[in-house]
Amino acid sequence: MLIDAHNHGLLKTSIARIHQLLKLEQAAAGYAEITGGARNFKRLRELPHFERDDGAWFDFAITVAQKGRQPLELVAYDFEIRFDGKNPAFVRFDLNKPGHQNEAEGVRSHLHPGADDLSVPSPFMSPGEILTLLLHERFLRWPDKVRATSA
Amino acid sequence: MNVGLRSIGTAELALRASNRPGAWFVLIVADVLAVREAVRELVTELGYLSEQEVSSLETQSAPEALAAAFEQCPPGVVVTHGFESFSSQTWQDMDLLRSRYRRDASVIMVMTLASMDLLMQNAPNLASWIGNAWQWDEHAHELSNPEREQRLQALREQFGLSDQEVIAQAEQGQLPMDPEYAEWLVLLGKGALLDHE
Repeated sequence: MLIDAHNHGLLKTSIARIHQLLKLEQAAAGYAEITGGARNFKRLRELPHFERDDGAWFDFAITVAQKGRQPLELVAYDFEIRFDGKNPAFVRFDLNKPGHQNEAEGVRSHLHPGADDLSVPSPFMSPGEILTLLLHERFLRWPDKVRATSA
Repeated sequence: MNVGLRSIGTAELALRASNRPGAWFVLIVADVLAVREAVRELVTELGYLSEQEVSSLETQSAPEALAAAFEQCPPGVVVTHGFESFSSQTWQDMDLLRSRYRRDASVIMVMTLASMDLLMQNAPNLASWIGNAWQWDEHAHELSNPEREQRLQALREQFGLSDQEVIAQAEQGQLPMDPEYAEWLVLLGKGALLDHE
């Protein structure tokens, strides 16, 4: 998906760099972490990340579990895309770890529209669906002419 | 092993081979054991990328038999290996038979550096087909120690907790639900504690 985006001109990150940024960490008990770019809470552009054709940039982390011959299970993820000089400056899609409270309140899947302390429930999406959003030609993209109310 | 060649991981090489019909690539590995591991990983990765069947052909020190195998195998990418038993003469024979190795899909030759040296010295025509040669990085897809530590340090600073505190909270079933904590446990090799949630 990332390589397709590069080939279609939607992702500036080179194919060689895509391979460098995508990493796997396998832990005991069948859990694994798939990372794309550095862990970047301070939103520093100099840390490794993916970059879109319009200058927006993102990174992500996905926790999965594989128990025996069962299909891979999605445990948690966070994908954050950043828009320098815009408001909101970022949008982050979180999938919390499974747990009774989360799911009872319907907030296991949520997004943060430009603030870590502000969240809104969002539909449960697979990592592939979120990447499709981040790499889409139309969604999560600032138009060339921004409305005055967006400034 | 530092021979001045660029390193490449299995996934990236498989992608390049899938996208370059007719190209020939050489993957340099450390030893014979690594040859088998690299071939196994390449065939698996290529299988994900291509609808066509991937072929793994071992030379058996017999260029003629290898040529026949090339001609008979399905039209997909070929991963060939077993060059460590080749003598200078065997490479010369293979060079003479080179037209029988031509195919539409790409070919990956997996070998040690010593084998590649013999190829370059004794099979100049075949050598001219080789578009790229890389040194295999079998860990290219894994988080390096510095990368893992960068992520752990960022987590510690962000949440103001030590690794031991996070482990203790997980053991007590009191770890927050945020996705970063799941990653934290996996990076510490404590993924099993996620079962405690």
